Amino acid sequence: MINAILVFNNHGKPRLVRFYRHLAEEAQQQILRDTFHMVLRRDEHVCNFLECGSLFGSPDCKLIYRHYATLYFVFCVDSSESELGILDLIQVFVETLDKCFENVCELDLIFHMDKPGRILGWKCPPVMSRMELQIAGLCAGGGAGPIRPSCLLVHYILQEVVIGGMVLETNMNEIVAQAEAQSKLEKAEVSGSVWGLERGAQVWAQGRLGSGYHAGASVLWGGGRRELVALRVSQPAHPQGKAHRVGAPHWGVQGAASMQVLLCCQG
Amino acid sequence: MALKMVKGSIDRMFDKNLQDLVRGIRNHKEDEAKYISQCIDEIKQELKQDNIAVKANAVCKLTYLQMLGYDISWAAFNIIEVMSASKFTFKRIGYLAASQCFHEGTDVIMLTTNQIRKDLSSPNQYDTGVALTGLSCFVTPDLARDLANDIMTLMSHTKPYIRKKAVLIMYKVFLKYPESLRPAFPRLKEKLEDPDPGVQSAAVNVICELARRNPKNYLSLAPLFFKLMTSSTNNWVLIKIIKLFGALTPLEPRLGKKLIEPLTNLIHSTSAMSLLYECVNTVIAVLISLSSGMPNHSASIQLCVQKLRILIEDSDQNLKYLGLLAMSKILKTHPKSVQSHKDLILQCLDDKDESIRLRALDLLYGMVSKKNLMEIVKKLMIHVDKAEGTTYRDELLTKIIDICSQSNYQYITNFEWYISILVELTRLEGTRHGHLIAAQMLDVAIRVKAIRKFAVSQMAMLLDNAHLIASNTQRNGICEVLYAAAWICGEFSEHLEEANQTLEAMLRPKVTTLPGHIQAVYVQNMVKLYASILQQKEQAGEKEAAQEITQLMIERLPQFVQSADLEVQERASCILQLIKYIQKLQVKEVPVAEEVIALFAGELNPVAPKAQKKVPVPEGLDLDAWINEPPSDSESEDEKPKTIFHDEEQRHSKPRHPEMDEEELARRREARKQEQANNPFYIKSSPSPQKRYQDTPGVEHIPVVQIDLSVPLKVPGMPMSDQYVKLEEERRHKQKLEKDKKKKKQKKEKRGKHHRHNSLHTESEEDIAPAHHVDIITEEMPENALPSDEDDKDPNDPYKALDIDLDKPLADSEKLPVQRHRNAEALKTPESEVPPVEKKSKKPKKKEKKHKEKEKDKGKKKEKEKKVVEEEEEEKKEEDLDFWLSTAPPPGSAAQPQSGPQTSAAVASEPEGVKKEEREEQQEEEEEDEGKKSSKHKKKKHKKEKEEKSKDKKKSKKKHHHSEEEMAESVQNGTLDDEPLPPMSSYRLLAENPYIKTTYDIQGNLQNDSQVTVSVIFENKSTSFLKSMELNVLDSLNTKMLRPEGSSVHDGIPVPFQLPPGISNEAQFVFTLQSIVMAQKLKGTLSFIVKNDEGSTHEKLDFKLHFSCASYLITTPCYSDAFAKLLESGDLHMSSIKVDGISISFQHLLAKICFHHHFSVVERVDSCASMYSRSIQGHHVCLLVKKGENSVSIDGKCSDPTLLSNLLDEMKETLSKC
Repeated sequence: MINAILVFNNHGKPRLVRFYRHLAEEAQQQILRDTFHMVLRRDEHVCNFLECGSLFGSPDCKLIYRHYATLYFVFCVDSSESELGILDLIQVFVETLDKCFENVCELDLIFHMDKPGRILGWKCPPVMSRMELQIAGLCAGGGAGPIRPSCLLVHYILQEVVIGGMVLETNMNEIVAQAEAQSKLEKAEVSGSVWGLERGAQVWAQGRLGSGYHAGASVLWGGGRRELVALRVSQPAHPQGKAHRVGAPHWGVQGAASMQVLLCCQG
Repeated sequence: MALKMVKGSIDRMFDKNLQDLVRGIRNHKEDEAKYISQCIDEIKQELKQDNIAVKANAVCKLTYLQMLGYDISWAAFNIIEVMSASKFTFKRIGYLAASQCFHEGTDVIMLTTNQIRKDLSSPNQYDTGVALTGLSCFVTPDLARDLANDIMTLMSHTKPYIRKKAVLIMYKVFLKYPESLRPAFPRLKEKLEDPDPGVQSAAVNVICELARRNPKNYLSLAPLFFKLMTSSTNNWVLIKIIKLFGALTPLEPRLGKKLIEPLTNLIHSTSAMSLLYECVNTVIAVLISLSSGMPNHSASIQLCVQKLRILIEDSDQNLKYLGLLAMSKILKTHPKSVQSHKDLILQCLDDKDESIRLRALDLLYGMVSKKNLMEIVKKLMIHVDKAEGTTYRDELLTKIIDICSQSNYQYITNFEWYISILVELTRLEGTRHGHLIAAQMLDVAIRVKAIRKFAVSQMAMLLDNAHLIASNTQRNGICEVLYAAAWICGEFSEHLEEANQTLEAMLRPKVTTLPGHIQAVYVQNMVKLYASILQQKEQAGEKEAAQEITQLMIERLPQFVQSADLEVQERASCILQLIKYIQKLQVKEVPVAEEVIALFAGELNPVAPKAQKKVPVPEGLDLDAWINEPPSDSESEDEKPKTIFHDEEQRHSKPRHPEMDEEELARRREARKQEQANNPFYIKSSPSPQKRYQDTPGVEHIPVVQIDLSVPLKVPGMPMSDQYVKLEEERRHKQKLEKDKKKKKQKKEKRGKHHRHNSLHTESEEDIAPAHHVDIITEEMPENALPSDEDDKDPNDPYKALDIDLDKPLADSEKLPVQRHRNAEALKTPESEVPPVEKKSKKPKKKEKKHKEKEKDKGKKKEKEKKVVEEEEEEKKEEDLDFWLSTAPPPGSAAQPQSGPQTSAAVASEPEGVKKEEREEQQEEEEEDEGKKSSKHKKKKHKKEKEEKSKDKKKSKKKHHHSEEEMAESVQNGTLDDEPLPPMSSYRLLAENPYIKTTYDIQGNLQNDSQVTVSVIFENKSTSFLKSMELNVLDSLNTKMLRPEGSSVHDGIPVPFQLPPGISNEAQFVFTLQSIVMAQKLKGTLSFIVKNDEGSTHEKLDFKLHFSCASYLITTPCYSDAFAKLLESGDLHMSSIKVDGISISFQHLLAKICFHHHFSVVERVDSCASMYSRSIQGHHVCLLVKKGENSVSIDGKCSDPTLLSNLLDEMKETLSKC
């Protein structure tokens, strides 16, 4: 059984916390901190196993971890899991993340960390590895809709690999296929048709503007990331609200920002 | 300005999405908590809105906050709302949040049952998938009970994606709702052979988890897993299966034997390190389970150790670590094979990786022997000096102590050396383990009498140099050793040479800076010291010196009287007064030493840590009963005594029993003493203190471990353990020389025979005699201590509930609950109407059978035959595992024919039969209703079957009557397992020459009444390579070897392998026979080619293959009622034998008969047992074995008289060897 899966960065900031048996939040954070300190103490090029009897209260517990650039991937497992098997699994998981994030060049940086000279010549990529940013939820990952930032995506991908503490699938292609199929399903719900997307956008805009406003949106072209959306916002007080066109190269942050600007002008 | 304000308000109007939240947290590094609490307020507002998208967004943010450690359980209801959204996007968010924060204590979770059921049955596989995933994290016993049936249906979903998830979730369901395991197990088993590898892997995964906790229930799956192991190419599955086998082998040694070969093959063939490692691990587990008396597995051990060495030598630290880990497992059973790699392991101590160093240390723990202990500890001491971090140094320290003190100081040959090691360790700065060293010092000094003198001198030196140890006291843990030093010097002060000096050292003002508890010991022990000095001086007649020492005490003690520590103060003032009194007496020139010494007379013996717990409660003692009746209710609170002593007074004031006269009292006292003397549970009081004045009687009864003697060594000054190492080496060298001399003499006498043996022997352990005559006093235990050791079991183990017999058939009461809708509005799901599972799964099969029958010939006979065969097959099912295992050669050792699984299977089989019958009846009735078209002959058959059934029912009723007997039987069988049986091997020697040794065993073949299988183990004893082996026998009329088609009677059968030197392997040959009533002997030849450096030669080995009658028998369990019927039937012939001079226990005797003659015990009462077996041709053999004083009589009944008499003859032979 896998007791927990933790992903955190070099500063101990959690990026993914998944416990497979219930623990109170404080206890989870304590384990996270302890794990971070234990893992941080270790040099590069030492073995990837750590005995941590005290951590979960059972002697039959081991930390198996891998360190990629700025991220630590730690699995807490008991004796029924094969140590080397879990190491492979972490690799599979990370590679899957790579595939699902559609962001090959950044991952090149991560995977070739051991040969820094070959790629860029510096030890730690100054971009701080886009992948971490993605996992942190700052960038919109794989064809994001308005309410699906990538830190959830990491969870969703993990759910295709491990459920309930047991390994579900180890075949990367299968994992990617299932994750993508579900992404598509989500996309279809948001932008199944052009007008479907509009409804989604409307809902979203309404959410953002509060119930006092009416909003309407239409997609002018494209789907996925580079939609051009026309959004009309009207206030009941001014029934003849104007229609505005909003370019949204990225549906997430920037779209919101430009809309803010728009509303400001209106105000 | 206005613009800014507007912007601000709009800002607030905009709900943040998750990305904004993450960014916001980043931008508010200084006041993160404040920002987040603000965000949570916003989220609370959002959750109040009706729009599901807004809610989902809010829940999404909550999930993120949960990861940061914020409690979000207050939003549980909103999470459920989002879970029930119709859109997948939202649903997924809801389930994710639920999986992160729901648990058994979440009260709203019960609201989810219907929603989850709906999602599980959704036409969209991803809705189902998401629900399953979520469920896996928050399933509660209620949810498990309500949804078990739905999930089980999903195990047969068309999409493998759902199937594999459902299979995995079943494990969680089992954990929460153990009752579901039995009904669901058949389907889970089916999934092991699912066409989709993912599903298969999931099923393996679940069964492995289950079996890890309760392996014995899953033994019957071994053949299936074995098949999977040999057929699967998925390394993940293989690893799991191999790990599972590792858990199963300890329960069934025969399984292990069967595994060795495929595992070895995998080890040779696989390139995946993970697989290789797990294989090695399981081979080790197998070897451990077979450990005793398996000489021919040394090759496997060698292979494992060899592979592990490669792993340890690898540059990959992970492999190194795992190699060491696995090595430590081998160590437990085969220490010799690991010890040869000591160099490698010591090398690992220098590794920069702490995990690896710790593993290496663990290994060292098991590698020490008397011979190398000093050397290893010396190396460790060097590491202690070199170690940088205190944690690792502390670890080293504890390991050194562990290594030395393990199994009662078994490996220490020189305790002076050990004491000096301990003293050296005290020089470690900043260690936390001072108390550990102190405990060792105390333990050794107390338990090893011979060392006391030396220990005392060392401790005196420590006390003298206390300033070195306690220099920066308080947080320095090492000063704990002073505690031990002071105590030892005080307690064994008679050994002290310079007692005065030590006393002065203890009275130094610096001592008052030590921790209180140590000072207290100082104070107490300085009196002991003082007492012995006093005695010394008085005996020597030096009165003045005695008074001087008293004066010294009186001068110095006040510093302790002023101590802030209560204990020190109290002891010191008490002792000060005592000494002042002594002074008075001394002035009067009264000899006082005797009386002062008496204060500390008597020996302190070590008491086992568990001793108190093990004191049995005497019969008739009720610890919960009141000694004095509790005060009656009328005595209210305020009347109760307020002081502690008041109670006493009150009791006195209570009316007493009428005064007993002296005589009565004396009589009662006498009676009580008598009773105590007779009562084994009464712990007699130790001899009264007066008696102890002299030379401590009563020490003699302490069990003492004797170790032989030689002259103790003396090393002056502060000891250096290194000196001891050198001295010890010299001593051993001398010893060895002496022994060699002796041996040479012996050699001359017995040259040749023991040649090889001797050369190995010179290094062996026994040669090293310890330097001391050492009595290690073992720890005392109370009389009649309970031997059981149940302290470590956790009664709250959740896996205990899953310890369920899976082979028993399902009872109606065990069906999974199916949700029935009470309110009509609830959505109807197809699953809710699914009939209970086992009916569903059984029914179609049954129908299939019928269909086939219909389609097939309508001839009655054939159908009947088929029916019979089918029934028989069902019967046989239980024996499957056994049979599967028995086709493999049984292990050479410790195969207990009555081991757990068999008996449990046996017990299970009867009710199964009955219940199956009942079920069949039910189904047939249904079928009759279904279609009345069935042909006439079918009806007839029904009738017949029903007749049979009624018979069976009678049987079952009878069984009821017998239930008491059965209880007795099971108890008897239970006791069989208690005593360990001596190792037995069914393999007999076939033939032997300098090149090869062959042993064989014969087993009947259940499937074929005229075949037996002969398993022959070939062991290459030579240093050459053996190949082209061919085995041939001269067939008799009755018994013939089964040869491949087309070959003549004179052709031999090639043995399908070659034998490198020292290797053994096994081949099987099938023989056909006609009559089995007589034993048979067949002559045969084994021809082979010996190949070595000088060339190859052709060799032959003749043998006689003995087919005993017992080898035609197959161990078949039988029930007492069936057994009784069989005997009643009267068509059995009877015969009996009697063997005298039997000394082995009845249990061993039965085990022997069971093992060598393939019988099973039907019933056992005291020293009388009935046994049963069946031949491959269906002869019933019943035995009644009775044990007298020194003899055993066996009455046998069998359908064939010749067979019986032959069998009894064979048995006589076996027994006479006992």
